[in-house]
Amino acid sequence: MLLDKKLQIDVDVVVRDPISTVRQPQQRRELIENRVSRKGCPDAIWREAAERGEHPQFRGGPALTLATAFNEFFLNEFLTVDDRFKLAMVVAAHDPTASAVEVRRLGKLPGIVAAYIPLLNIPMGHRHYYPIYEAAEEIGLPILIHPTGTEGGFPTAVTFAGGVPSTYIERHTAFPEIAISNINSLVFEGVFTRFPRMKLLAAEFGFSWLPHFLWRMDQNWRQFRKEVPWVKVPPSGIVIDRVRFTSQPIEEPERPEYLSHILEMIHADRTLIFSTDYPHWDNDFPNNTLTRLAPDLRRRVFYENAAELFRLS
Amino acid sequence: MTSYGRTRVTLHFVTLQDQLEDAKPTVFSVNGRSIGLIKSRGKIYAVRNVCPHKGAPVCEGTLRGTMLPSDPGAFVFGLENQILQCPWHGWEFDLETGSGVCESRGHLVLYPVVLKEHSVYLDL
Repeated sequence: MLLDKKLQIDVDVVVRDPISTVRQPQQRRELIENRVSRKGCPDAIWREAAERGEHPQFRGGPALTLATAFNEFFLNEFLTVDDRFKLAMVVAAHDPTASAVEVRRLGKLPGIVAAYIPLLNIPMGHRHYYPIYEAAEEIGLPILIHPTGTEGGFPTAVTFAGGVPSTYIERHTAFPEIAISNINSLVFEGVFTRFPRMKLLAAEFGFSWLPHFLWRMDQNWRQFRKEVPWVKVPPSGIVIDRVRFTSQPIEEPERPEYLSHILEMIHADRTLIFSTDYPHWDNDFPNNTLTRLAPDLRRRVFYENAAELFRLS
Repeated sequence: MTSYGRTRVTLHFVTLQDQLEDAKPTVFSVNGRSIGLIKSRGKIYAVRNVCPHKGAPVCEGTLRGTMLPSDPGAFVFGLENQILQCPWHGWEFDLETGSGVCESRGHLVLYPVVLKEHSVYLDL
C-alpha cells in the first residue's frame, strides 16, 4: 500500500512503535536526513506511483493515490520528526469506500488527529460520504473541511452560490458559503444523529456569519420541522455541540467590541479554535490576535477547544 | 353567564355542540376575547386565538397531524387532528398541552371547557 521502499520502511516503523521511535534523537536525525536527501514532494510521489501502475490504490483513481502519498509524506517528514506536529490525514472524497480503508489504515497512528475531506460538489449530508464518517467515528477522528482552491474550478468541484467568482477577492470573500451549505446539509440530513460521536472542524471559513446562520436554522426548524423529523432539538444546539470553527482570518469589524458580542453569540468558549494559517501571507499571530479575550475564554480558544477536539491530552 | 357556589366559576355560553364541525376550528368572541373551539378526537378544546409567536389568529389555521420524531430518513405520521398549525409561520402546537411541537417558545392559552345539555360553556 506504500509508494516506495524508503517510505515503506519508515511507515512500518511508525506503525510498530511510534512513540519510542519519534522521540529518539538518532531516529529523528535519520528521518530528517531522509527528508533532505529525498527532496520528495507529493507530486513526485504520485507520478512515480502512476508510472508503476501496480499500486493497489492507483486502480481506484489518482485521487486515492495522491491522498495516500500526502499522508505518507507528512507521516514521514513531519510526524516522525517531532511529536508536536499533528496531521489531519487527507482522504479522497471521490471514492469514500477506499477512503474509509485509508482512515482505518492510518487513523490510529499517533499524531493523526483528524480526517480531512477535500469536498466534491456533493453536500456533506449526502450518503456518498457516510463510509468516511463511519470510519472516522470508529477511530475517533473529527472530520475537517477547509477551502481547497478548487472551488468553482471544474465540474466536480464545490460551486460558489451564483456562479464562478471572477477574482481572488470575490473567491476569498465567498468561502463562508461552502461551510454554510455543508453544515446546513449535515444537520438537516441527520448526519449527526446517524453518527452520534462525529465532530466537524470547519477551518478557515470564518465565523462571524454563524449567529445569522444559527438563528435562521432555528427559525426554519420551527416552521418546517416536519420535513426533517429526525432533527429533534434546535439545530443551533447541534452545531454548537458538534461543529468547531477556526479563527483565521480573524474578522475585523468596524468597532472591536462587536467581535466580543459575536464571540458570545457563537458560544466561542466551545466552538472557536485559534489558528494561524502560518506561513500563508494572511496569517494571524497569537500575540496580536483576539487580545481582548478574558483569561478563561482565551484558554478555551487558544488551547482547550483544540485539545478536546483533537484529543491531545 | 352562570355562577356556582362559593368557588367562583364563571361560565360563558358559547355555542351548541352540534354547531361545531369535526376537526375544523371555529372562532367565537367570548366576553371580549377571540377564542377558537375545536372538536376533535371526541373532545372539544378552547384555544385563545393568538399565536405566541407573532400574535397571529392561530385558530384560523388548520388542524392536522405531524411527523413524529424519527430516525434519519424515516417518516412516521401521527397525532392526527391533534396539532394546530398557525396560518402565518406554520408553527405547530399540541392541542392536548398547548405546547409547541418544537422546543417550548411559548404556549397556546387553553381554556377549560364545560359541556352541559348539548351546550358548550367556557370557564373564563
